[in-house]
Amino acid sequence: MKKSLFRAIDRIELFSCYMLCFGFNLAFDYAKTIPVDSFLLQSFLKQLYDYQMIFMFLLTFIILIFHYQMLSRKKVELHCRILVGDTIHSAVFKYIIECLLILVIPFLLFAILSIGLDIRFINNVFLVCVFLFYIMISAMMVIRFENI
Amino acid sequence: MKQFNQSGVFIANLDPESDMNMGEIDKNDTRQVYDFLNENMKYALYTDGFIVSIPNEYDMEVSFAYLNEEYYSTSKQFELSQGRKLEFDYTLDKDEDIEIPVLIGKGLSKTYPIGSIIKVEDPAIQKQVNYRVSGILKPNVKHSNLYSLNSKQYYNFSVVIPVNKEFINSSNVGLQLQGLFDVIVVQASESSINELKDIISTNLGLKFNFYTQDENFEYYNDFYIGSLKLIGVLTALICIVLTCVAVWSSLASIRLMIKDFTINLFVGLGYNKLRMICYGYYGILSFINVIVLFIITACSRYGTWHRKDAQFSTYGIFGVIGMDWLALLAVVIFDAVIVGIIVEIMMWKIKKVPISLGVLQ
Repeated sequence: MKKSLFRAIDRIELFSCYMLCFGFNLAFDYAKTIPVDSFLLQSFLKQLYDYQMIFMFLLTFIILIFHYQMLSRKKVELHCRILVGDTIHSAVFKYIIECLLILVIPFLLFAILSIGLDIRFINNVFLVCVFLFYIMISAMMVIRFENI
Repeated sequence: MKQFNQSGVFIANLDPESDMNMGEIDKNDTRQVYDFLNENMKYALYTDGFIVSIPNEYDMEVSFAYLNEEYYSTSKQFELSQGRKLEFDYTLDKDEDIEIPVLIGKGLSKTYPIGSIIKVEDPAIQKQVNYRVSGILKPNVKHSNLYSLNSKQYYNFSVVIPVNKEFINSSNVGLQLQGLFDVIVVQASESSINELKDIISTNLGLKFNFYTQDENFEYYNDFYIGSLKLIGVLTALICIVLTCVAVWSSLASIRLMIKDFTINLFVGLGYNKLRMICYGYYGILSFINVIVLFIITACSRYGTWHRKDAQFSTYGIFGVIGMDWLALLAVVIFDAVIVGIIVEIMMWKIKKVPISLGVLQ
């Protein structure tokens, strides 16, 4: 994408973070569906998926970390862009669109995998909502840069 | 368990597919089986879980464990901290003042010191009995199920009662049947075991299997070790992924703070000092992690005291026992390795950025 705040490495990083979150979430949901004979294994897995929401919520913080550190590094670049004629609104718009594009690809990949493995992917939809919230927060951070 | 891993030793196991109706089994049926055992075989009998309310300092429900002389002499698990070993030559042939020497767990030792009498109606023989405390078990003496070796049951609030043939004959069907479920026949041949199986089947209508401890170990290995390996692999995988996330977030923080790092390096901060600061910071995080784990473990152990769960209450700092300390030590070692990996990668990354470029950033 032209005039994007993202470099190739940033896109790969964000994509990998989303993949990790969706992957873990799907693995939890998959573990629930496996018939386990062993009581020992069952109790171990139960310990994990009983706290799935907490694990996943903590894991989503890596997306927050990513957005924060990336935008902090792009502060000067954003200022320069505005100086040479770009507007903050178009920068934010482009940023949101690109974040959404990077989010949609891993989501669709795991949605297809969920359907293939016959696992419910409603939890991944919840994750998307959390990520959308993070994207909105980071977009507000971009808006704030105009005043700094 | 090792003591029972000898040739000629067979451990009973009720076949899972055998139908059991306790109501149909009476004392005559079980007596026939015990008569056969007494006349033809040497056997080790052990059964526990008979809960009795006797007053004690912690208001715990006390569990009675019954064992015969063969079990007591073969199994070395009942180590004493005070007192004398069990004696089995007592008689019940009295109308009153039946006195039987017993061992008790550490949790009962303050209420019932050596030589004191626990006067109680025994749930197995349903008679008033005076149990004389002859010995106190060491703290955290435990027993594992013969088929599920990872299970542990602690004797801190148990009374260990010696049973002889007279006691077994006087006891109710419950004890006799429970005793048979885990009876260990020693110095037996295949043919005598088959004969015993027939006797049990004819009199009780139950199908029993008799396995050697080697076969039980094999069952354990087949059934549990596979699961334990899988749990190990899953844990290792989660550990590796989370370590990678920790390394990534540390590198992300370096990207943000590289300017501060390089300015400090420029004005005299040495790489060694920086390394020490990083080790100190991550060391504190690891320390907090270990403390949190210790609190969780202690809450879990101490919870058994709070819930009055006598069979799982253990002695130690907040109930934390040797195996927990070992696990915490393993966590400390893992933490040290992970901290080492993160800090060294961070230092490699910082050194890779030239000071002049870092300052400009």
